[in-house]
Amino acid sequence: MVAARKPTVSPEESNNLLDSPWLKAFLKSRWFPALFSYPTLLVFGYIIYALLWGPEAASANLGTSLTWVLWWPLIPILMFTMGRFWCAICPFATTIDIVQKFFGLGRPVPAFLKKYGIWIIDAVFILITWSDHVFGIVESPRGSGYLLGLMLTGVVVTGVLFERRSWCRYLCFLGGLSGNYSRAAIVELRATPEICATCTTQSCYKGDGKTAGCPIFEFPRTMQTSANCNLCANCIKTCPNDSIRLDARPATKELWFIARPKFEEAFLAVVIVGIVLVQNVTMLSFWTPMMDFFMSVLFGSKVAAFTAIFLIAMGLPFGLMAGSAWLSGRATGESFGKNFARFGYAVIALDLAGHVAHNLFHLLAEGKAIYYNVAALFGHQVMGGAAVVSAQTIQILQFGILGLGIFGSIFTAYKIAARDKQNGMRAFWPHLVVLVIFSVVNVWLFTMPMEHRV
Amino acid sequence: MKHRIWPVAAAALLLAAGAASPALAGGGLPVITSLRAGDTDVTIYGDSLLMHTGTNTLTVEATGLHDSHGPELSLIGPDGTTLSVPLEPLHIVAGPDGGHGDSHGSSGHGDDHATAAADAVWFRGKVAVRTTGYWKVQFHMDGKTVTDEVKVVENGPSRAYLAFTGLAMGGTIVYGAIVRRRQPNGRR
Repeated sequence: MVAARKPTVSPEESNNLLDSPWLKAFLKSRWFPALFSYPTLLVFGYIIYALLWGPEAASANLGTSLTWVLWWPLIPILMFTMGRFWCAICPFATTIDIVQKFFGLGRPVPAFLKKYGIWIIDAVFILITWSDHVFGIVESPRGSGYLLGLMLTGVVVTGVLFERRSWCRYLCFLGGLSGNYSRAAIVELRATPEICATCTTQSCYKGDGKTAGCPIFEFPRTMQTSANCNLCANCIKTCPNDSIRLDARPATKELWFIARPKFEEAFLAVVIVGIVLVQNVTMLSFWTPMMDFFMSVLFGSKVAAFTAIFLIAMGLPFGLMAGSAWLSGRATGESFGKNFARFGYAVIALDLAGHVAHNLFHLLAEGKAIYYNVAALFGHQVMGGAAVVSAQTIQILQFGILGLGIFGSIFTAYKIAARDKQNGMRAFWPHLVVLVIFSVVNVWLFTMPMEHRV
Repeated sequence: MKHRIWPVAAAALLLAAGAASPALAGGGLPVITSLRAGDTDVTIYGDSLLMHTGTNTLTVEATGLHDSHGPELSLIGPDGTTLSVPLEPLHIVAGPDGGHGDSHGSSGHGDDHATAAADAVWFRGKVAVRTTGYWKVQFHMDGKTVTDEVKVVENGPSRAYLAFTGLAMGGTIVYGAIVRRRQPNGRR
């Protein structure tokens, strides 16, 4: 028998959203998540068409507006409020389900994918960010279409060959990102340990014949993180004992008590600091003179100049975090790797805030591009300012969010340190210094002028 | 330990709240051609860097136009085909910053257009072009006609890309179907 894990939210402070009968009935019905996933798949089909065959000017392409001005800014907000729910309705996941129904071979996931999947996600994420700037993926509808088409190819291939949603769990870079962000989310799905202790069916993992088991290989009974739960509600449907709970919880709380921290997951969190840094820096007014300088010393090569800046931007956060982990580990007698893994999770709140704040600019300063392009689709020609709200309003929102993220990260590091009553304080200080550096850099970056996507 | 965190967090928040974030104006629609006839300047914007096969949305900006009701735009193909572009007046919507694109505004190309809209007339029309090559753009207004030549290219993604993704997806699906058929019960 497998021992059930404790949920992050204790029974005393539990706020089980499934106590609402209508929500529970909806999640248990066959309409969930199909009501969302199939329309999303239809919109995705149009987006792919528009990106590959539509206008090449980003501002005139509805696919670009829907992807980079609407979806990409909303996705981290969705992850914070609803965990990996997007993964349940993601068109790639729906494609896997359809492909598997008719052509799936259901082979086991190769061991190397299980072992190195998160490293592959780390590498792909870095590679995509690099190629975005070198080949202009975001600002080019064709580039975005090529990227989505390549991902779709990977989705179909893994969907046919392997069981469940192997792509989502082991290969999708967005899945890796959402896994990290979901740890800071304000909801969690968990089983009730006392009920699961008597369960003999394990249908939450295996399925019950009517509804499939967990599509991303989680066993809710032992699940102690939201990183791999996409809130698809399969386990709510299949559990014969009503053990599953959907609890509201304080933001970032899961990060305070990670029982088995993994270096590769902490590494991804630190990599995202670098990615947010690169994304911001390339949209700033001093980007061109900086590129010119690097090109002048790198034989005029734009790719070499960008790669050099990219490596510095990616390496700096890692170097700083590694330095603080080394100092912190020395103070407590902990190994570098273990300390890095433990405290690396603390930057997730700052990552999330930086991601939301950066993309809030695109959503609110360019949001009307969506309206103009949708109107054009129906033959109504409109043009004008793309901003939804004033620049000042965006600034206030951006810095408010960034402030919350800074607080969330510092507080998380403190809570992680506080678990060690004896050496916690000594372990905390080096990380506090690095988090303050990250925060100041982020704040400074957001004071700089930014360029548009469309 | 808690008391030592709060001042740092509060300082970071204050620092964050005190900063400002102006936005730069971005690029607009690509210019297909610029024409001039007397006092009138006409700029024709496309929806792509070059005109392409399939439907093109053309946006016309005309300044110094005396009769804004009767401009006509047409395309003449390499084989002599003439396509008329049905132009309709374009509605210009002001943004929250008054529709003026200043360095602190938060809007893109649309604001630049909106600013220029004060002394320009805007039209938009769609035209479906079937053949590649050099086409003549002919703009007629106020009794004057001006022409220029534009290149029309093939639309859509690279064929190599389509072939690769199509073969990879199609091949795997066919492989899955064959393997499943060979299994005793026709399914895995």
